[in-house]
Amino acid sequence: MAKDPVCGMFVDERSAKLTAKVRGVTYFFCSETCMQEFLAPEKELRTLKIGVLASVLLSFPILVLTYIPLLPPSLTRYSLFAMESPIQFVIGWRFYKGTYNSLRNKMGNMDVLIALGTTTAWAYSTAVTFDPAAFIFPGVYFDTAAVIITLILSGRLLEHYSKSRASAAVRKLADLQPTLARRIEDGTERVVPVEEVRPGDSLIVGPGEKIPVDSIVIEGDSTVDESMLTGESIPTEKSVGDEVIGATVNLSGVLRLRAEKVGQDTALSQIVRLVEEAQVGKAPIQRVADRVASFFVPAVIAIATVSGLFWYFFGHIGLDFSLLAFVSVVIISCPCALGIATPAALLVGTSKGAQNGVLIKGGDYLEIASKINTAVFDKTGTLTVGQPSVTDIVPLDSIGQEELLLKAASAEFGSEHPLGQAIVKDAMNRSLSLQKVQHFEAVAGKGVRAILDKDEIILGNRHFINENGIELAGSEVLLTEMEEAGKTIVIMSINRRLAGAIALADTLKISAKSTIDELNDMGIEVIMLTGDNPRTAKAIANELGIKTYFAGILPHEKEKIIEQLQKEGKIVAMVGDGINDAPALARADLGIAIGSGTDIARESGGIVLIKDDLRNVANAIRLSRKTLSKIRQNLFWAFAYNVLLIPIAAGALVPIFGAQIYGFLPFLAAGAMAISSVTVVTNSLLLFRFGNTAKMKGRK
Amino acid sequence: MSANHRNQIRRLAFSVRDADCAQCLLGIEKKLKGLDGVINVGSSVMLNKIYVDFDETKLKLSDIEESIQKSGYAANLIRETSVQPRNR
Repeated sequence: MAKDPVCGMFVDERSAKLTAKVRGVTYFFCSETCMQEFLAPEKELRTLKIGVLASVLLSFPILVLTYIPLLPPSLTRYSLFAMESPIQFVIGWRFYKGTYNSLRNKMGNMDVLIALGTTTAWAYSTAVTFDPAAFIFPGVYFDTAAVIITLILSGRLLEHYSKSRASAAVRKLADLQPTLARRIEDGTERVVPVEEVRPGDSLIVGPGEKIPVDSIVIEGDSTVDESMLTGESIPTEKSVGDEVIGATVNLSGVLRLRAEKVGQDTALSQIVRLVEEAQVGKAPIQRVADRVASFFVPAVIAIATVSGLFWYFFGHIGLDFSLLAFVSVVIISCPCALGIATPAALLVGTSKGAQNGVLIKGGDYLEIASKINTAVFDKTGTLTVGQPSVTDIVPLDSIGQEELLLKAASAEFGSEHPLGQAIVKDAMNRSLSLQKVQHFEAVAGKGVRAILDKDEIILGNRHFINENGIELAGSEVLLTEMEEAGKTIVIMSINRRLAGAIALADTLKISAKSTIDELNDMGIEVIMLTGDNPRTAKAIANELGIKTYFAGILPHEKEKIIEQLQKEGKIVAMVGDGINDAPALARADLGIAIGSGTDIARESGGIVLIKDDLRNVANAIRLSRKTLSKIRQNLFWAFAYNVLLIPIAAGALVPIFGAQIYGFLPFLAAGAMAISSVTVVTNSLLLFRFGNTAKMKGRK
Repeated sequence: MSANHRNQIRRLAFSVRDADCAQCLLGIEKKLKGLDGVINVGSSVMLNKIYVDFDETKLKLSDIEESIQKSGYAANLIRETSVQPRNR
């Protein structure tokens, strides 16, 4: 079974025409484009390696001849010229090419600085070689140009390796893509490439096999390891009707599936795309760095020119040292470290998130996530499971418990409200046979009215009961008590006479309490929104340790509350359902959507949690904070590096050590430039160590 | 295919070669932003990729490829998708 290493498509080894052997492994490709895409970086890397090797080999004799007088002066100069020029123009050609592109696109880059610095050293030395009499001191600096190019190419090679380590996580994610599927065709099973699977196809997945595409289970029970996409290490139980995600691994039983989403629509494809495109959404902090980087190159050339002229005309250190001052400044400044400081940390941070089921959609969202001081949670479905169930049946008149439930369920039959459905479900579970109603009417947000056996049944919340003029009288205390225990009450009357009440409660999610504790510890104020009455809301808020809550909120009011909190100067994250709560999520400074399925791209919100696990809310914010502080660190080092070293290169130390330090400063400059980008990327790689509370603290 | 579908904004993803630094990619971005019909351009120096959102009624894919080439870099088209509205 061969797989195209670029697009992940299945390629038949026997008929494959496009193959390539890299480091002893044979790869198969589906198309010319994929092969090019795969081989181009390999070729680039090889060119770079050859360049480094050749420049090291040539620099060695150049250094020997420069510092040890083995040949007469004039012959030495010619030999150095002959050995350095290939480094300058063959190995170093890439810098000229880069300079040309840079001028054409009117965007200064480091190639310009390297080409300018080394060409200056080469040109001066060449002039000395061919007309030594014209110079007071006929020394050449071919070694300077050679060593600069060698060090900078070595730096690029190191940078290449650290960059590919940083992007490995994204590649690994794409590699999860399965290649083959077992499809049922006219009752027989056939193995087909995943690309041929269409929605609606019937698939079979055995234990230990990957789920080929996003599907629905139509037969069988099993557990599925979803850790590669959600970060959740405990396998998830799956049975008929459940959604399974492509690329997750079926563990125990045989599942029969109906394919739902294929190709670019699968959750995995959407995740890979989101992570990649997140690298583009710029954090405001990066825009600043980009602006600095864009005028950086001309500024550096100006500083270099001024320091060269200064030393020549006022410092009187001679033409050669003045030129080396120019070269040192040009070479030591590195716009590249500035340019890569944010992207490197962003890539590692967002990849780390993706490995744990936290998708951060861009640098801008990451930056705001790190600044959040208020987190607003929707109660139903976010803090709770979202499926209320009956806890108490309380007759308040001469009516039995069973009869009360039967009448309530019959009246609610056909209701779309979750509370109504929960009552009907409870009656069904007790095998009560519901009665047919003569008339049914639902009043949104309040309750239902039905005619049952000529009796008028009114069933609903306190509001509705009061509106209809039904007296609660002595039952008030009992009802209030239940509400204060966090239960939602549905009151029933028969012919406008109080008959009883049914209490329902929604189960809190396992991780709700610990997540809220953690957010509080992180200095984030937690606020709950709920449609419940104030007493029920208070009880639940108390249980969770939430100090601020808004009760009796209708769905369209959520947005307004967020706006109000923002006016108070709070930076608000809204946590909710990415599709139903979309307006509130969009209004908040940061929307955190709790995954509700495989359609990840449709979820609104700057952060999408693939798994319905609240702990990832805290993880997402912690990861964002960590990443942003890494970005700040990187930018600090990149700036500090330039700010400290440019004055040294410009001659700040000459009054102390004398102009002789220019014999060695250009080497230091090139070494510093070579390692600056690598340092920034390597520092970012440390983010891979970020630990999740979900994993560290275990399940609560 | 409805008329609405045809007038969609498309997003192209290119992988760019020989662009060693963030500034090189910013140069390509700048060039592409100058094209009429290009709505948004972004680049990732870590992944060596450029993303271009463009209006199909104003530009052709070949115009964009030509513009990248003119900026001096080689690029491969690796993906084409319709754009999801980016909301927060």
